[in-house]
Amino acid sequence: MRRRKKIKTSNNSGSIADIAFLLLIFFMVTTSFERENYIPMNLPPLYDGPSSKVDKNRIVTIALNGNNQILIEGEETGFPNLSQSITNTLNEAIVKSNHPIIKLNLHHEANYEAYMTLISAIKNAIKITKESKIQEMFTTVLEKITPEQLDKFNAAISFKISETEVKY
Amino acid sequence: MIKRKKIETPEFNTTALPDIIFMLLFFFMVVTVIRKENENIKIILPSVSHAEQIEQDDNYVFLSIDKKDDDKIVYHMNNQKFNELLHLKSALALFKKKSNNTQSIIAKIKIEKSLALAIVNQVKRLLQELEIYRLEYLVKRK
Repeated sequence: MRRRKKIKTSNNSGSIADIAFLLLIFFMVTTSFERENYIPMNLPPLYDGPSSKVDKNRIVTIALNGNNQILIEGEETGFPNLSQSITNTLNEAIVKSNHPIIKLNLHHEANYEAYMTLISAIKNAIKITKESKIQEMFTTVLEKITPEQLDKFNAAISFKISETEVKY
Repeated sequence: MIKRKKIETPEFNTTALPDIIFMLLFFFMVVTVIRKENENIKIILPSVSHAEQIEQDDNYVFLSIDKKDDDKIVYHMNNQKFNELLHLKSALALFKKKSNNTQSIIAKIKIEKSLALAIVNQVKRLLQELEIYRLEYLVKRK
């Protein structure tokens, strides 16, 4: 009896490895590790009514013309130091008003890449400006801010982006 | 003596091999995200210096705008192809009808970088008309 037990072969598990290998290779091939990069934006609801008047001090005008040149308050700005220039402009703007509106005049012939470069630079500039203001107000960083502080901050300072398509 | 030794040579012990492979398999199964988008679309994305990496959200529609060789515009929604903006609109409207949480639909948009803004704006206007307000532009990071 004892001998018999010893002779008993173990389950043949050789093919399990093959099956697992096959699945493994499939998932290795379909996996993409690189996360995609996005720029999130919120569109405003459609509005065809009369335009409301806005305090001139709140407006920062940035234009993208048909030759893909960027003009901040009428001054041409190169792409390399775009984010820095916009940050400077925003810092000046929040001295005049706590709720600046960034008015984008976008030429309809400008290309999408220039537009994305501009949007990404503006988003970054807003982030930098907000971070430095938070540092000033609460002596803390954006990640460590409490919800109450965030509400207070948003009431005190906010940025809006307004896009207009121009054809001239 | 010599004969016996040859017989006693042990086999490679492979019992742990399936375990190791299973572990790897589970790892890849967990991290895999099977994409909805059509891989045949070869769009050159604009490259920008600052962009966000966003957590996957299930409630999205994948849009793309591309230019053919003859400068005609082609739209894609998930895996469907459209040559006319109007057809894209009706397909999107249908998608919205089927979706159970219409408020939080995110439109993930992939746009060929050399396209004119006029074309992009047409699609944005269309999304506004359908009350899809959340956009995510897909970009490449420099």
